[in-house]
Parts: sequence; structure tokens; C-alpha cells
Amino acid sequence: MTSPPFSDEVLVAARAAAMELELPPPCMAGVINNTRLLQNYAALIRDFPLPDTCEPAGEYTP
Amino acid sequence: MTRFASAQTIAQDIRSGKRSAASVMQAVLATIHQYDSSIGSVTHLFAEQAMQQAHAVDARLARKEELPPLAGVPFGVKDLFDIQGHVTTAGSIVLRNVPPAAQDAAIVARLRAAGAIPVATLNMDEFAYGFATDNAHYGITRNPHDPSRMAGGSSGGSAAAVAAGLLPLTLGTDTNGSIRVPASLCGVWGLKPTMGLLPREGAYPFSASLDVVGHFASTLDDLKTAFHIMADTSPEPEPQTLRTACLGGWFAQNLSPALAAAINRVCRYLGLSGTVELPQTPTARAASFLITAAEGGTLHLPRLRSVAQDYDPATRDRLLAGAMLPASTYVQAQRFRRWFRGQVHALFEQVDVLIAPAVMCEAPLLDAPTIIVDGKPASARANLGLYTQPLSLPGLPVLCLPLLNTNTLPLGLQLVAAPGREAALFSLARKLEQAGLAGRCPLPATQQAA
Repeated sequence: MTSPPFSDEVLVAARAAAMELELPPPCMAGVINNTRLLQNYAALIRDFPLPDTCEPAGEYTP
Repeated sequence: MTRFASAQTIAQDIRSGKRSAASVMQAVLATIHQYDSSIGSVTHLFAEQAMQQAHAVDARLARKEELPPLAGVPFGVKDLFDIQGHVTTAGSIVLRNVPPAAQDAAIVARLRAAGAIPVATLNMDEFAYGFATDNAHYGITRNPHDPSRMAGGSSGGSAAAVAAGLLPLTLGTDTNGSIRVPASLCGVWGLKPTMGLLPREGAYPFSASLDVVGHFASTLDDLKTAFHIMADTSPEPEPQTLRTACLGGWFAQNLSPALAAAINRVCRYLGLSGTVELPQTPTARAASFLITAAEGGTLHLPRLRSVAQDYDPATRDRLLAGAMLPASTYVQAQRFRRWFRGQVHALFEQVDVLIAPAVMCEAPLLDAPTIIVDGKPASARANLGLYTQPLSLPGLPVLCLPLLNTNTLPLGLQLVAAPGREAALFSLARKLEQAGLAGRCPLPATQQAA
């Protein structure tokens, strides 16, 4: 069973509330649009299979 | 005449006594006053200090002191590099009340030690977050080849100032393509060095794990000379020893016909057939996008809680969305980055230089900022980094090369090498320059006079 999808508005409001971040009303439309864009990118990386030994990239030593 | 003069020519003229440093600086300042109003690349001029430093160069020459290699050469900096005594705004009014910089940014200091003179700060997208150099506080920087079109960003002022012949050398930064995109759209040389090779001290940060400082120049020689001054480098390999390949797949899609033809000409000249592909390129672009959003958003979050209204609305909304990304998304993007980096490094065991487009088309119109992606009109701002963002992720050095004889507005290529192999990029670029395939794109006659 999967959870019903959040609307982008609900998602943004929930994230902001969790961070105690007050979003000024003029920001809302832009933040929702950008969150939607980032969600699409997040979906691409979310399910990419990586071994448990693959650590986050850190400093780059050329 | 200093407009369009190279840094090397200026340095040589001053050293030989053909021109005084003061006369060069006067001419540069006059050129900026005359020509910048139509493109809007400069945000602040250090006219008085620059003239003082030019007189100091002339005094050293009069005393028959040996001059450093770039003595008297004017340069500009993206408005996020510290210049001692000047408030670094990073293209925003949010930082207008911070104290003036106590010292120059590290690479500014290196150029200054080589005799070069900082003349101006240059326009950028606010906090380097964008590909347009459309800044709510400091205005739009227009493309010198056609002022109705974008200069690209976020280091758009730096690219436009070189393209317009105002300055021979400028500094910029590149997180997702902010040197390569404007270099391509403005038809000048640009270099994003290997991540971590040049010091970032005194450059206002954007995305700490992706930011790279670099530069623009009107000639390949100037690009290389400045790089040698800013970094320790190895000798150029002979171009015939380089194994070169063209990137296909993602990098062969969405190309304008003129750019596809230009890439074919380059590949034919180099005798290349077939292509190689990077794995999971769309995911690499996504990871770069997400890391930038999360790191940039987190950096600005404390100020966004208190003075969000002072930000450019477009920047503010991107930063807020990035600040709210879940930690798991950010960490997964960095884990993917580790994997992708390994794949790319493995590819460089078989090739030395990869060739890819920089931007898929000519500079978009400012009042209709769309480009064609997958056959449909798409936002230029969101997609100008289509080919640069995946190559940002590993941290490789990339030289942006302006193509010649395309019968279009400027188009650029990315030459990509393994970490620390900038010398291979210079070598291949030299070969293409000598073949007449690459070089600073001359302005149309109508724009030279504008």
C-alpha cells in the first residue's frame, strides 16, 4: 500500500513547519515551483542503486 | 588603442616603453565609460586606485626595475571576489552593510603580485545562482554580440567585458557552468580549472563542494598565462600525443544544426570517428542541481529567515526550496557523485581529452528566454546548463573554446580532461586555434561601434 501523494503546497508547508521557517506569502508560488523541479531531480537519484560502501563524495584531491 | 588588445600585448608595450601604464589605464577607463553602457557589465570602477597603480608601474620602469609579467595589465573580477577595502556584494544588496574586505581574494592577490591591476567589479546573478546575469539589484548584462540577447551567467559581466573588448582578462567562478555558459554565449575563452587547484579564499561561496574559481580571456595565450600565474602547471604535451574523443549520447542531443556542424568539423579535423558516452548523465546533472540547491540554500538560510525580502525574488525562491531539501536527498546525491566520479576517472584511462558542446545554441533573446529541449520550448535559465552541469559533478578541468566561422552568434565547446591535466586542454585548444577553428569571436561591426 502506498501513501496518497502530497500536493506540492502541502509538501512545502510541511517542510517549512518542520524547520520553523516562516515563508512570506510572496515566496510561496516560486518556492513551490522550485520544489517541484527539485523533486523531479531527487526522483532520478533516489532509486539509483549504490553499494553500501559508496560513501558521500568529500574533498576532491586532484 | 587598448580596446581588444590582449594582456600580453599590453604588458609587452608597457615593458618596451611603447606605451606608459598610465596611458593604457586612461584608455581602458575611457573605453569602459564609452562602451559599457550598452551592455552593463561593470558594477564598480576602481578608477582612482587603478590610475595610482599604473603610475607606480611607470615609476618602476623609470627606475629600470624589472617588471613582473603582467605589469600594468588591467583585469576585472566577478563581484564576489574580495578587493581590499571594498565591500564584496556577491551581486546582492543583502551584504551591503558587511565590512570592506581586509585583503584581496587569493587569486586576485596572485594576479596583483604579477603586476596586473584590478579595474572593475563585474555583474553576476545574485549570489551566483543563475545562468542569465539578470540581476534585480544591478541590472541585466547584455550580450555584446547582440544586446537583445543573454550574456549567460552567472559570471556574465566577466564574459561580456572581455567580449566587448573592455578588459583582456577577468575572473569568474563556476559551480554548474557559470564560466562555461557565458564564455560560450559571448564567444570568449574560459577555464574552469580542476576543483581545488586554485584557492577560493576571498571568493564569496555558493555551493561549497562544487565551487571553482577560474577566468576568461580574449586570447588562448592570455588564458594560459594567467593560469600559469595563478597555479603551478606542467608543460603542454604535444597535441599529437593526446587521445581525444567526442562525447555522444546526452551531449549529442538537442544541438542546434550550426553547432552540430561545427562539432563535426572539429571531429573531422582531428580525425575522430564515433563517440564515447558518460554513464547516467541525466542523473549526474540532477545530482549537481540538488547539491547546489542544498548547499546554497543552507548557506543563506539564517538570512532568509530574517531578510528574505531583500533578496532577488528569483534567487530567494530557489534558495528557500534548496534549504528545505531532505538530508537523505543531499547525501544520496553526494554518494552518486562518488560513483560517477569513479566512472569518469576510468574513462580517462582510455582518453586524454573529451570534446562536448558547452551550450546547445546561440544566446537566447532576453525577452523570449526559451530554448528547444527534446523538441519543445523550455526555459533557457533552467536548461542552459544542460551540458555543463553533468561535467561539474566530478570536478574535472574544462576549457571553454569559442568556435570560429559558424555563421551564427557565438557557440562554444567544452574540452574536458582528467584532474590536473589542464596542460592537455591548452595543447588541444592550441591545435584547434592554429587550424582556424577556434578564437575569440569578433563583434559585428555594428556592435563594435555601439
